[in-house]
Amino acid sequence: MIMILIAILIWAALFYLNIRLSRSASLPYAGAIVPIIFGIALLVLWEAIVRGLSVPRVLLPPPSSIVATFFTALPILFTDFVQTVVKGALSGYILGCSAAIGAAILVDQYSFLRRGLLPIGNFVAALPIIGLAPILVMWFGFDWESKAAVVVVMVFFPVLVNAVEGLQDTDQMQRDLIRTYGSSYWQALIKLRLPAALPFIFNGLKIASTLALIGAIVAEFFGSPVKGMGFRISTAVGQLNLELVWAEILVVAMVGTGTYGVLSYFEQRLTFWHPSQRERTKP
Amino acid sequence: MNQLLRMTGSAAIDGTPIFSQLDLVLTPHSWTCLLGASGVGKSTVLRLFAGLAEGITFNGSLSKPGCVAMMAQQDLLMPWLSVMDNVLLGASLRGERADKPRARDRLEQVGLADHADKLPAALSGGQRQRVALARTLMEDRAVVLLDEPFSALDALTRAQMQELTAELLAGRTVLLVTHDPNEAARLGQTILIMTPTGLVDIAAPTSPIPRDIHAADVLRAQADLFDHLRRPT
Repeated sequence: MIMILIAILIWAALFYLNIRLSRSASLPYAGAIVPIIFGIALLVLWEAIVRGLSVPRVLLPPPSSIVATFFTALPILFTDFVQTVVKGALSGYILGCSAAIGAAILVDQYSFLRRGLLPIGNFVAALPIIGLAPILVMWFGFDWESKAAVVVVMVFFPVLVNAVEGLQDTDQMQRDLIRTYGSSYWQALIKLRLPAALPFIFNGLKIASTLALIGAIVAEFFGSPVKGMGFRISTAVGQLNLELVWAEILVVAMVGTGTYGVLSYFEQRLTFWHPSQRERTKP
Repeated sequence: MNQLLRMTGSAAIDGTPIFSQLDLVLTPHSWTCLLGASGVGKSTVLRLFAGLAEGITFNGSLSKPGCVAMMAQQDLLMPWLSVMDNVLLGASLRGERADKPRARDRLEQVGLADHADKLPAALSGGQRQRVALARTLMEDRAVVLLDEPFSALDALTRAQMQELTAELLAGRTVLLVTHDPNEAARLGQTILIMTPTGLVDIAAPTSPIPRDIHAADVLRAQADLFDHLRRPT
C-alpha cells in the first residue's frame, strides 16, 4: 500500500512540475522535456501499481522486468527483427510502394486504367488480412517471402491512391505553361508533376509504413520458420512468457516510431515549400 | 518574324461552338489587345496560338507562330525552386545548359536581382509576377501571349507592371487578352473586341506605349471601349 502511495506522490509531483514547465514558455527544450516527464510518470505509476497490488505478471508485467527481458533476450529480438522487419516488412514495403508509384504514373497517363485499376485496388485493399495471409503463405511458402507479399498487397493501394491524387494536383495552366516551354512528357513529369505530388506521396508512405509492420507480424501467425516477431509473440503467449511478448511490442513500437521519424524527416526536407510544412516550421 | 500571324475559322469544344468566322491578324512587332465578354472564346484563341489545342476542334487556317512564350494571370512559379531556378525553368525542362548570367540580367531588368535565391513564397504577389515576366523574357520568343497577366494585382502594382512589361517586350509581337479597358487603352496598338458575331476594331491611340494614364487619347479610347463593351450585342 505504501508503494502505491509513494507512486501517487511521485506522479503528483511530476504532474505539478510539468504544469509549471508548460506554463513557463521561456525554458528551452520544454517541448521535449514535458512529454518525457509525462512518460516517466506513467512508467513509475505502472511499476508501483503492478508491484503494490501484486498484479499477476501474466496480466501485466512491470516495466522493469520488461526492460530486463528486453536486454537478456536481445539476440532473439534481433533475429526476429531481421526476419520480420528487414526481410518481411521492409522488402515488401519497398516493392509495394515503388510498384504503387509506378502504377500511379500509368494510371495518371491512361484514364482507362484509372477506371479499371482503381476499383480492383480498392477491392484488394478491402480484403481482410486474416483471409489473405494464409492464402499468400500457401503460395509463397513459410519464410519471409510470403510476409513480403502480404505487405505488398497491404501498402499498394494507399500509396497508389495518394500518388494518383498528387499527380493530378498540378493545374491545367501549369501544365500548359510547361508545354509552351517545349518540354516532353517525361521532363514535365520529373520536373513538375512528381515534385508537386510529393506531399501526397509522403502521406501514403506514412500510412503504408505502419500497415507494413502490422502485415508482416500478423502474416507470421499463419505459418513461419521458428523466428520472427509474429511467431515469437504467438508462441510466447502460449508459454505465458508475457515479458517476451512485451519486449517484442517494445521493438515494434521503436521501429514504428523510428520509421515514421525518418519519413517525416525526408518529408520536411523534400516538401519544405508546401504550406503544410511551412506552417510547422513557424515558431 | 515579319510574317503576319493570322487566324481565320471557327472553333468548338466538345461540339459546343466557341467562335465562328473569326479573322484575327496580329501585326508583327506590336501589341494587339483582345477584349470581350467572358466565355466569348478569348482564351481559346490564345490556346490555339500557343499550340495547346487538344480538346478544341478548329476549322480554318492558322499561321503557326512556332514557339511562343506565355504569361498567365497566376504567376505559376514552382514553389520548390528558387527565383533564379524558376527563371531558368525553360532551359532545365528542355535539358539545355542553364545560362545563369542572362537569367541574372533578366532579374535585374525586373528589379529583383537581390531576390534570386529566395523561394517564391517569400515574395509579394507583384514581385512573383515580375519573376514570371523575367521567365517569359528568358524564353526570348518573337511572339508573346499574355492572358490577363495583371488582373490579380492591386491598381498601383498593375500600373507599374504594365509599364515594365511594355518596355521590356518592345519590338515583339504581343497578344494581350484583358478585361480592363484602361489596360487596353494604355498598351494596345491594335484594340479588338471579340463578340459572338466577330471582331470589332476600335481605334487605338497612336502614341507610343506604355501611354500615360492621364493622356487625353487614352481616356477617350478607354471611354470608347467601355461604351462598346456595354452595348448589347
